[in-house]
Amino acid sequence: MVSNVDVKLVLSLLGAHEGKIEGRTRIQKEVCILKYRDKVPFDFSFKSYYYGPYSSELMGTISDLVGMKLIQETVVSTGYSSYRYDYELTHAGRKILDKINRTSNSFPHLSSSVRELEDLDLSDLVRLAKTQSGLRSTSA
Amino acid sequence: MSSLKRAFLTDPIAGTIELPAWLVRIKEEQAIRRMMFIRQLGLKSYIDFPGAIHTRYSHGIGTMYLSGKVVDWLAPRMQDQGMRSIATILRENKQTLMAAGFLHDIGHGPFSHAVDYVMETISGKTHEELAEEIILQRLPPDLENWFNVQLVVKLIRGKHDYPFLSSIINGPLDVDKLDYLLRDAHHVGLKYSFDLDYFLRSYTILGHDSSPENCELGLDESLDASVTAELFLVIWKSMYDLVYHVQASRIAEKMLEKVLLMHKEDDRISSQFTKIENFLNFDDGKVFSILDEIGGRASEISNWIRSNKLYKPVLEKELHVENFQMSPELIADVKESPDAVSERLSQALNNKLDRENYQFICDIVTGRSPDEIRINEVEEGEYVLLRKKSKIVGAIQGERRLMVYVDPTVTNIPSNEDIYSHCKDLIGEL
Repeated sequence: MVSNVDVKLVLSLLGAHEGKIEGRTRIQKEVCILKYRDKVPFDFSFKSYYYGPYSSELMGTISDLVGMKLIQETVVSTGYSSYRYDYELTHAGRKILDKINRTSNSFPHLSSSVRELEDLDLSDLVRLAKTQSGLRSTSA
Repeated sequence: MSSLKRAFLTDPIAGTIELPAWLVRIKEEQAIRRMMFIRQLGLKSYIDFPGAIHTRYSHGIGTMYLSGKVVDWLAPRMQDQGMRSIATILRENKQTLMAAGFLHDIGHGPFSHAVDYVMETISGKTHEELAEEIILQRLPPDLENWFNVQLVVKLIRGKHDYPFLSSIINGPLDVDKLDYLLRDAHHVGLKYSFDLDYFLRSYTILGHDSSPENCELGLDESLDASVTAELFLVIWKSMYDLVYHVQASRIAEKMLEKVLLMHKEDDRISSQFTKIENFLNFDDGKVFSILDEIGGRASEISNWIRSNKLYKPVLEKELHVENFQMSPELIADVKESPDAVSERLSQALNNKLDRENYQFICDIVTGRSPDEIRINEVEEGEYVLLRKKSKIVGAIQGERRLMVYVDPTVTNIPSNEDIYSHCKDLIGEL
């Protein structure tokens, strides 16, 4: 189940990153930490398998926002047969985000939480997401 | 059980299949036989693909067969890799998985997906929820002699305690897709194929033997696995574009959906979805006979569908914010239920144009993008996503289109530009 709050929050998350996030894993882990540790009201449900918390609803929403041209996806080659997916707000995405920020109370502590998280490298984010979500697998 | 004779059937995709004893036990049940009278591709076989007269029953047989095949491949493989608990769970659940494969579509309405939205509107249930009801209440209780019926339901609903078992039936690499792609392509006459045995050789269980509740179905980390998965996903995407969303059939399906919605208060329609004993008699043929019995507009549309007199497409526009102003609320609604938004928009457009109900039909067609597949390679403490290794997989995206169709007898149809302009206004207000 995806709510309009989720749509607003994903756009706000990108906004808090000055419009751009590098890599799907980073988005997954940040949303997970923001939801469980900082109580940002994402509705996305996360499941844990051996690889830690993951939300297919979140990825589905991002794909949708790409399809709606609110976010642009760029595939970056990171080596032989290895790719990273970066996401950036489009002009239309920024316009909608401005409207969200004007018309709702927005999400006050999102920016400060994001500023802290963007300094962490990916392996620290993965670890933190597992710990904070309580979805850590037993021996991964 | 021992008195039951061995039974076989031949299948155009799988070859000769021996029916498990539990299927011999239930194959004459009304709920099972009903699947033979529901075409797998619904109205597509009457409009675009005359060869596609295969049914939910044959798809169930194929899915059952593949469930067993996946277990027969994975269990010894996991055993050899030291994952003995996983191997045991697979072996112990083989019949349960096969039953889930066979029964997973038992709750489909007539013409398969064509009535999904009508069913949800009238009964408040999805076809998976109806499947649960039928399996638990309408099949003989002695099925428990062969498998755990509750677990079959959990597998179908994707809620088994062991996700790797659920995803054999309901996941990105599930046997449902493997069967319907090969079966549907064969029957529509497209020679699309992939080497099923070769692909299955790449299937593995990711995770550790000590915690099966965290394990998942995935693929080997190999070029074979990636390339075959790419081929599988490209065929899957192509089937959506060329078959599942083909325009004329899609229009016929929407005509059927709307005529049923138009008469949703009529007991002859509503009771088919709300009373299980009626639902078990409700097949493709019955839909047309009920619409004919109702008469008036119902039998007119029913006749039009049968005589291929279809609504005409008058608008096709990609649905995104460069073409339509959409609020976050509407974006979420479109994601959750494009059919419900299409319905609201249809009502609004007919009102705005001062036309009778459903003379114009709005239809949001949603392209599909594949669910994530993981491979047996660990990075940053996680199994890597296939899309990280494959640009082709990453490029398969699902776009949405807004289509508008008009009753073929309507005159004074506004221009395409005017219809687009009306839709833009209405979407901005939704």
